[in-house]
Amino acid sequence: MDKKPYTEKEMARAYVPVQVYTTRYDLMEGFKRGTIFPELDKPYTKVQDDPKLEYNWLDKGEQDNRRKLLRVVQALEFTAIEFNLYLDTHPEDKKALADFNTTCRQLQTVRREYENRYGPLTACGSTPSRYPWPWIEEPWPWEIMG
Amino acid sequence: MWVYEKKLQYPVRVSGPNPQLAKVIITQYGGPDGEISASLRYLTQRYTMPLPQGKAVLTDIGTEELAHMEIVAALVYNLLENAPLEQIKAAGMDAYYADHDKALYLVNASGVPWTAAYVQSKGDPITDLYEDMAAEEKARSTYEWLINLSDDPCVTDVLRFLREREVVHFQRFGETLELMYEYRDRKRYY
Repeated sequence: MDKKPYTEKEMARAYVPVQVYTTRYDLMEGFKRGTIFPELDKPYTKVQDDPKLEYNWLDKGEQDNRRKLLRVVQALEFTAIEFNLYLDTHPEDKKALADFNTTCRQLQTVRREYENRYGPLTACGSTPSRYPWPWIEEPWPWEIMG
Repeated sequence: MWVYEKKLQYPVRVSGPNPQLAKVIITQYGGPDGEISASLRYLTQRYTMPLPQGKAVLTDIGTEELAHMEIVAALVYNLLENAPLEQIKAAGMDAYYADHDKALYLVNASGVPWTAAYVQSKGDPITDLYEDMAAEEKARSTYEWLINLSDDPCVTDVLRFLREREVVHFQRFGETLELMYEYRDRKRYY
């Protein structure tokens, strides 16, 4: 992409530097921060300095196995979305593609485990259903606070 | 088409009923810079986006915004659930209550209903991308003002996550803008 010096650049338009993927946060760190890419991690200073703020769902009180497993599904899917959006603008980045594929394989395994234990995550035909139709089972995502 | 996943993108917790906070957070549900506006803006603009990368970015970010809409709705729902009427009145949410009880309704923080006038699709992909970058910045600012207003650390954590997504989306739209200028120049010279 455009690497011309500033003076040769066209006027009257905005420029955003194009990201080059090198490293990423580990799984839970990226999920908690809202991006897996350290160079895009730009937290609001007021939150960063607030000692009251804790990641309450991960660091304490999550003894519930269902929620623990759900966090892994969520974190892997979040990672996949991050690579997905990156690859949309960098379709030829082989490293990002390889890491996307690794994430997909991990997600498939964990998702299958979650669905076997706790019921379907989708009703679109990707997993055969047990009897009676478990899709209607509560709680729905907005009801469990998580 | 779309497939629903029976889970939130990011876990939502609230410390207890808080209609005062619900009243302002609802703006990210049905307000001008909210998640519904974002989703519908991108999903509408994609039809006149000529660039393959841009079609993907608009589709995928538009889809992620639907997940954010669900997160914001879950926040509002849980902040209103079990809120006593006295607390709702004290928070100045009695007018909302009169029309909607504790139901979710698409309004901004001062009660103005959602309108298509919040979004634009101009037919010029460069113009649309500038709108999208501005929209991400407006949403980022809104989350910062909401964080300033929040007295619930569980809610602040969710707002902080959503705010960071705006930063990432801005970057992707910015990269799409670079690709769009290259595409325009290729068309102009060859």
